[in-house]
Amino acid sequence: MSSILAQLLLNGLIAGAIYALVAAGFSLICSVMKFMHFAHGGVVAAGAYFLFMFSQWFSPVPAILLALVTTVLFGVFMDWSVYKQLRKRHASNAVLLIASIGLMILTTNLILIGFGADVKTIPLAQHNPVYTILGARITLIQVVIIATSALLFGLLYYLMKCTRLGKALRAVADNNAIAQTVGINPSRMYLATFILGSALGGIAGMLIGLEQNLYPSMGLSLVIKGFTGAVIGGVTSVHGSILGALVLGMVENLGIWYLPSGYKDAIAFVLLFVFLLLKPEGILGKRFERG
Amino acid sequence: MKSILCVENVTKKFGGVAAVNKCSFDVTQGTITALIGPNGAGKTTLFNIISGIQPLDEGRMVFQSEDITGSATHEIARKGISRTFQLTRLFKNLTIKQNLLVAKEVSDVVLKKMLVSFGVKKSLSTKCTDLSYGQQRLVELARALLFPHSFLMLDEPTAGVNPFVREQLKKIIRCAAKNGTTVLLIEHDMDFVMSLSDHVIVLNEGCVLAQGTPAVIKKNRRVLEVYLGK
Amino acid sequence: MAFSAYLIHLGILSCMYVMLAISLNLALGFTGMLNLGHVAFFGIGAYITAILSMQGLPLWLTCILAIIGGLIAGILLAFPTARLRGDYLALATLGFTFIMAAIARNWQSLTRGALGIPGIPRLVASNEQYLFWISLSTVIVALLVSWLTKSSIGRTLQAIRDDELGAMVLGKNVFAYRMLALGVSASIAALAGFFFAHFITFIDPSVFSIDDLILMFAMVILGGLASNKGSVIGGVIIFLLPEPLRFIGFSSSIVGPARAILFALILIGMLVYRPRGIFGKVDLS
Repeated sequence: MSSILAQLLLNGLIAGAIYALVAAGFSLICSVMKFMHFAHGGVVAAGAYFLFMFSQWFSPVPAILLALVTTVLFGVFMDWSVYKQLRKRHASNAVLLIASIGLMILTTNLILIGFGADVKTIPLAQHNPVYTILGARITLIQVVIIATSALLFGLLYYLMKCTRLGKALRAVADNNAIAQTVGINPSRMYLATFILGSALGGIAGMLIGLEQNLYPSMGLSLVIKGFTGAVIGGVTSVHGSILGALVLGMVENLGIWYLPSGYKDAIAFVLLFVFLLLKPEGILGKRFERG
Repeated sequence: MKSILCVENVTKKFGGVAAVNKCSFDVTQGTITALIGPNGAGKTTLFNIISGIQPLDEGRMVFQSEDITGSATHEIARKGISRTFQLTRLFKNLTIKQNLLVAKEVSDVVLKKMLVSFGVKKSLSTKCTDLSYGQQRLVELARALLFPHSFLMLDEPTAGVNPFVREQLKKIIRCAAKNGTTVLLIEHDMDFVMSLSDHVIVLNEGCVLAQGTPAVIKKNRRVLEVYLGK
Repeated sequence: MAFSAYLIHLGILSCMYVMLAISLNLALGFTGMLNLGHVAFFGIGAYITAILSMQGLPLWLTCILAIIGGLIAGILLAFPTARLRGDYLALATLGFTFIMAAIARNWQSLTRGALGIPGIPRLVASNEQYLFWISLSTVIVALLVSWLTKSSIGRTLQAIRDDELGAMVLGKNVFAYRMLALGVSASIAALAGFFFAHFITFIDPSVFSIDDLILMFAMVILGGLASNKGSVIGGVIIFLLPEPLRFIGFSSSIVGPARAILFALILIGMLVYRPRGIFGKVDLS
């Protein structure tokens, strides 16, 4: 019994780590840009499919690097081709949000046409030894997922708190108008945000791709988990979002104790709904308005 | 001298700071009462509390011997309290006519007559964003007056309007009062206040500092200190 | 002969999408509610119709029950989301769509889950008759919504969209009006779902797909927010636009995604280059 609990907790941690990577990028972009970038899910899916593509032609390390770079370019391209044009027109949040859902659907269907509807596995992941901790089984890739997430969150924390770029990003997130008066160029910060956010999303996608199957609508499922985690923790707070996503991963996996596994996804939606209704600013965040 | 609105010990805190602090006053039926005071005195907050937009922390409000404390904004409005805002809140995608009809269903003839008497010489089908700022203020005032009311609250009606519109506003407010409307207005323009109002309430740091007729207020030493510095 | 059957098929689905666009516009364009739950109301209508008509209920009754089901769903959604606006309302209504899809997938004793419900009886024997009934319904819906939006209720809805506080101080119960708009909008979407279920004769959880949501938004944005005429024209244009893809000879596995890509591109293109659409006079805020 206790080993089942240990296994569920561990599964929760793994799922939470993946969701947290997605949530961190989503919430970083949301806090700086002040809109919900649903198409972040498309960026995550692109990360996985680019790695799938490049790993057929190159050895692992260059494949991973190439996939990361192309994913970041893809994310930045989304911003440049759509969001930036909308910002120029002073489009409202609602418009940006609908456009981002449009981009999400666009990406999913481009993947459908490019790679087909069948599930794919990334050939890098053939050697995947299994370890046992306290009666719970964990694969090497799952260890890598947890370690990479922890490392990235540490780096992100350092970047946001201790570097000039991080301080500038936080200043823009806090108050764009005042940030501009102290000489911060918002367009460069937006670019930096999309590079960082898309890199986080891309890495999330690659790790998920190594652990699970790839399917075209994976981006939508993942961005739902990501923004649910973000809403739980506070959309505008990056560490709140990471925390919220970990909570979501845990709750989903422990929920299987009580519910049929088909309802696993529904748990996220119900949590999303409950938090939006009762505590829309999340555990650590605050409500955001665009000036 | 029957009072139409009683504000009793109303307190509203933002964080730890009391924007309105144990504020009490009566507004007498049929008068024009002005609420004056330096910026940040809590005048607009008080307006928002009376119209139910912001909840109050303490105290109560009685309108026409009915307790309206804690009622929803639309319920308070339906009891006969109409108001305008510091920055005009016209429905930006609607025409002048549509804006006015939201307040009350009346015929085009009535609307047209009203606008002409207000000095707005635009067609009823003009989109309200095509009006000048002064005209927007006049249309907003027309809308507030059309809404069935016995009590009218005006938040800085003369802010940002030219002298011609200001005189127009004065005329309209006087006329409304003559027809039985009780008026409570926030105003910074002292000439406007002194020439128009029957009663003046001075608010400072969320408290009532002084009240009385314009002549009394003009001579009040504490009021002068607050306005001119010590 | 085959071509005229194809035209009738297009006519029927065009009518269904026009109903969906008109009803979405009532909530989105006229009332300013960023409602991503519209596709859920459609799905609810389709599922109610399918489940009840498989139980042998007569058509007129399933039709009424589908409409009532949509109305109840709309009102139920209005209650918890009463205080949410903008992005938060969008997220909550999207969450509602996902929850409905999860129920359809998982409540297998009722919905047969992912297997879907096949063999739904057809409304009438021939598609010609079906086209007549759905056209008639569409015209009634269009006239009803057009009357509603021109009435004092519609004026108040638009006032609420432009400035809630301004409407409140004029004595308008914003919550009641928003609930009314969402309820009417949802019941029309459910009626479209009724027609869909009887026409396709098979439904599965994919009726709650986000792809269709984008399709409906593209129709409303192209036609123009707060324009009923726009919804009709946007609905027809967007639905018919990808039809030539069928004749180019792409395989069906390409046509589906290609349609979705086209809709998404039109939607994004409209938002960037012509956010007010063909007849719109209002911006999404």
